[in-house]
Amino acid sequence: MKFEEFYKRFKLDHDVVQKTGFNPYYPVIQSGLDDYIIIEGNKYIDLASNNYLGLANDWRVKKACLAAVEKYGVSLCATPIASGYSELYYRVEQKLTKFVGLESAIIYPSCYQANNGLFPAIAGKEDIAIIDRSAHSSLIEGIRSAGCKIWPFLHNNLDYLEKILKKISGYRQVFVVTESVFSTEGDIAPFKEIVELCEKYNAFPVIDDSHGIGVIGKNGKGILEYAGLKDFQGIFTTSLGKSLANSGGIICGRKSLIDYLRYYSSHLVYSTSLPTSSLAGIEIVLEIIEQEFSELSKKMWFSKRTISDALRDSGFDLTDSITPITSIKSGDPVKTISLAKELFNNNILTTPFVYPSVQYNEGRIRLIAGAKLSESTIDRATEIIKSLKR
Amino acid sequence: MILIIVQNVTKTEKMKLEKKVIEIIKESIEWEGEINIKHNLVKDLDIDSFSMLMIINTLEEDFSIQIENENLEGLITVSDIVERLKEKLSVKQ
Repeated sequence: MKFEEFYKRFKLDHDVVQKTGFNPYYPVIQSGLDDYIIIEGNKYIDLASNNYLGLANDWRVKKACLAAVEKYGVSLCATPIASGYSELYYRVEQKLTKFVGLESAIIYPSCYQANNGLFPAIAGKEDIAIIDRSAHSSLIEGIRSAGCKIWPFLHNNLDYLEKILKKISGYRQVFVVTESVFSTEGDIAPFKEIVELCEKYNAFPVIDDSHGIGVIGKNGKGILEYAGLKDFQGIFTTSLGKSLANSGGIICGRKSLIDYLRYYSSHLVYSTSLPTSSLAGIEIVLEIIEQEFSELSKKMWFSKRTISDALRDSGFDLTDSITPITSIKSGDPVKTISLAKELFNNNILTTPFVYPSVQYNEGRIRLIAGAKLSESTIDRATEIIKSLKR
Repeated sequence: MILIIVQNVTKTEKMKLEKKVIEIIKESIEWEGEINIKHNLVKDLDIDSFSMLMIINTLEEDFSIQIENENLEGLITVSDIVERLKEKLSVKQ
């Protein structure tokens, strides 16, 4: 094959961008996540990032990260299994284990890698994974790469899930896979009931708590605390880059599984370790959450309620979110990107989701108003939303 | 006379299959309206790859058959699924 022929295959569909005159993806950010963020020299209200607790630019977190850089440098230039496993790495694993409330945890460079790496290590052709149809791409791709049968179930639909569990037979292992907080809708999986179904049908629950940890539960400990699951025997994964305001991802569960993954999960074994600055950042954020969750959570919920109320009062159609995620039902890709453009032109940065991330006519504009936003910024956002009345 | 009886039985079976396929599609996409065999899976029913997987998995379990990925090519309408299912069932018999 000639080079030209090869590269000709890679073409983007510019149709929506041409019709709307706007590309909302890859905005070039010129500041940290503060009350406002800067894009192309202009100030925008940040309703796009997953900075739920507003800790991404907290001086205490930055100080801890800088201290780690002073001590360890910017990288250990090695995988964890070789010489990339610092004392800080070990300590943060212990603290995350305690925070989540399970036996053991292992830190991956991202939650995408954790979810992608999990299934090839634990599942194969003889197995089946029944997954919520709205679950994250990292889980779906992980399951696909394991080669096991995949069976989606209707979103949060326990009856449909039970019908599948009743129908299937002959598999070596049955996994039921879901997210806690769904990132585009803002609803929460009925996870306690899902775990009960797993027990009834001898299936194994796997949950991704990326938008739940630091957000839901009385003390911000995520889905297991929220659902009152004290002796969870399944597998728990989460991102460390959302409310925990750093980067990386973890898999938590029984010690025997985690120890196995340390040696047999290629996504971990062959990836350079998370930088120590991120590990130090995670460590301090966990301490801050332990001490200040109640106060931060109040601010986050105030921001969420104010923005949601303003949108609803202005005639926007919202999803039934019961979390700090606010999501506008925006229709097809052109309508979705047009609305994101309108908000952007009024200095509000949001996250639009279009097909194939969501179904074609079910586009979403996601707004996350974190604890960092000041009351005056929230007021300004409210004024803007009201001026865009539907 | 014999030929007529065979045709009638086949027609009845086909109608049963159509009814079952439509029932599975409705359940898999939470469709409350009517579905007929001429409906286009993507344009009329908004069926994406995940919905198709749910439909195919249910057919496989309910009819104890295996439908390989290559058998999914060319499925445009509800009728195409019924026809493909018929082929699979006749091979099985």
